[in-house]
Amino acid sequence: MSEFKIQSDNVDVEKIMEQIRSRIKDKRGVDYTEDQIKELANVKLERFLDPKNVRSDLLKHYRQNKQKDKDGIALVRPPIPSGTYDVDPDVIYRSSRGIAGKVLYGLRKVLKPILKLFFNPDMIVHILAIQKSQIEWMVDTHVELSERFEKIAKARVELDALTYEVLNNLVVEMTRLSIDVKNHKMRVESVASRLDFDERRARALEQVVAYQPNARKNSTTNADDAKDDGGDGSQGRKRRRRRRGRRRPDAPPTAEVKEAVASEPQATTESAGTKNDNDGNTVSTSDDPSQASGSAKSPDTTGQ
Amino acid sequence: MKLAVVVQRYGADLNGGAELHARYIAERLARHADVEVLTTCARDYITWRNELPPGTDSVNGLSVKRFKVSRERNPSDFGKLSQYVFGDLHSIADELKWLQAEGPTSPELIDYLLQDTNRYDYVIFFSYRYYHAYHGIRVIPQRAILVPTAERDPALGLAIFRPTFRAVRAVMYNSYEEQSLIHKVSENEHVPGVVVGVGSEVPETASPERFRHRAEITGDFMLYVGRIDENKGCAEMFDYFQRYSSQVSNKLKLVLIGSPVMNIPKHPNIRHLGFVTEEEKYDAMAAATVLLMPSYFESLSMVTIEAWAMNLPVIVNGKCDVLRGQTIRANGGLYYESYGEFAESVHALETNRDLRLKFAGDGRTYYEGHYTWDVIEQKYISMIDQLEASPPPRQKTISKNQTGWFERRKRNCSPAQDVVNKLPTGPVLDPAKNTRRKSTSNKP
Repeated sequence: MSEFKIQSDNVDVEKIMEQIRSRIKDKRGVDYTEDQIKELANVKLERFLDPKNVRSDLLKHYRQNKQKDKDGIALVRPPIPSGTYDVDPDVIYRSSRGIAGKVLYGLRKVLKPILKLFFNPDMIVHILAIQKSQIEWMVDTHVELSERFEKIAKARVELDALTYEVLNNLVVEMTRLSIDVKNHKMRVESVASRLDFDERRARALEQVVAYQPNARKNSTTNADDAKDDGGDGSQGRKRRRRRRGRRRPDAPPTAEVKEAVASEPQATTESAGTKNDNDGNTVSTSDDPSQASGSAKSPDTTGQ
Repeated sequence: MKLAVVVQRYGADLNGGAELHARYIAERLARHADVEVLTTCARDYITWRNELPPGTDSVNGLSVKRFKVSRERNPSDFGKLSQYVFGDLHSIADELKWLQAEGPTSPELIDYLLQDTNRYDYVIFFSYRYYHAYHGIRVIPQRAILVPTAERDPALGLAIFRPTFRAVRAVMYNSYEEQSLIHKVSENEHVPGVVVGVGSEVPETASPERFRHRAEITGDFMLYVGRIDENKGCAEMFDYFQRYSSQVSNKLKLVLIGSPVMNIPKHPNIRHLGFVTEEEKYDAMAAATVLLMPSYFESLSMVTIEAWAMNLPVIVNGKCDVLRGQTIRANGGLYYESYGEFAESVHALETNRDLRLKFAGDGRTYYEGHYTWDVIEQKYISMIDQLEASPPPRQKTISKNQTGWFERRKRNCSPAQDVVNKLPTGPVLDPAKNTRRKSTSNKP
């Protein structure tokens, strides 16, 4: 993590916090809190997701449907007919009027043969018996089905709650991932540009190293001269250092270089042998010592 | 002048925030007036069980009258009622039931105040949300001074407390954020009020070397002082610190002082020292690089003030309005609302000595201007002088039941949580205007 550049005589908490926020923003794109992500997942999905594939108002609709289901799921069980109807052969002749009923029942039994002349009452009793058994079966089936439906409905409510939770989490995660992808893209671009810069810098430094012995020889002479003058050798080196313009690796050597190579062929060979020894010096010419040393550690605040 | 301090619990060994606050204030005011403490026989704030003998006692030279609690708290009933009044439409009667269930129910204490309302010149009530403050203020509103110790919790949204805030003679706030909340919820701007807090006295002879030698700690470390509890934001603190150690710098250590009520992760850079003496605590502060205060809810952080008094910069949880506001006003440290901000803030203070020194200096100046005992005592005395100079306003006696029988049972009170959610958030950046900035985050 790079250092803060703060003047100690002008410290303000809010300004430093703004600086911190902008540093975080630079690193990870946009800084969203958990609540903001949830809000975005609920409201502004179309900004991050493909609206053709995912409905931005998915959760809203889901909630509405869930409420409708909840309202409609209350099952009203129809009343089961009360009372028992024993269907026996005499059922159509009986009466419930007490003593008068008994008299009436006796009279009907007496007149039964006459009645049979007009139609067959036994068949009616038989059909009634069949209907009774069928109705009983239907009631039993209805009760059983109602119970099964209630169980299924209850299970569905629980399942819906889980589904809703899963769906909600999925949408939130999708939003989070979309934001992460966006941030990672920005970081990849940033890393790519840095890599590009480093490659160009490395090529430039290689060029410097290739002709270092010659320069070193001159520098030693200059340093000696400087010492002779009562000066500091390092100052001599500082005077000598100058930034070289970026050169394409395939660019032809200048006339000066050609001349140097031609006059001192062994020096070039020697320079290759001492290249590693000079690495430290060459790296130190970087504009940014912290980058060159590679010791600074940068926190990955994007992983939260 | 005779003053009474009324608080739910009192004792030299009771370290709850409001109770300690009350003891400090009582002991300091005793230098200027005749002070008596009225409290209950309870020691445990969960059950309010009578554990201390009733009658007159003496604590650090102060006379303490203890009254019995008539019934212990039933946590289950209290929990159900809390859920109901905080989350549903309810009536005043429900809120009064909630207050009764919360306790500490001590009618004897209220009767004592009622017997002779001229016994004390002023009665300083601590913690607005308890039985003693609610009913006590109703008995003697003309002599009542309230130290609300209010936080942004749902109880503040209950309708029964609004007349309380309006009825007292004066309110001594702990912070500008608390003042702003209470103004908004009860519209009591006309009641004289001042932001006071509590003072702090730090030793001149704190020794960092003594601490390092005793605790065998070398190098830079962050210090946490207080109960190690998830409710205090410690889980988040451990998570952030471990990530910081693995991703940014593993040189910084985290030293914890206080009793744990949660598991402390095993990490080579986390060191728990347990409960230490005051001397060791101040030695630790003198040796620390920065104080960490991860709590989400604080009405006043005494540890933070002590840290500034000890020239120690702080890093606080920015989601706590009070801590954030104090840190900004003091210019005494940084705050965080996410891991990214935590990492950057800690790294900035770990690596930048000038920044640390500047924050430490500004924090100390803030402490000297607001939180030395001389300043605190003077604020109390000035307020009492102001009340003496102005006659008490003519007001009706406040009914303890608030309204009539039928009105009391009407379910027309909004859920308390909804009321609190509508209150302004963020730190008060301009205390003169008492304006709040909209917070960038929601509360957990």
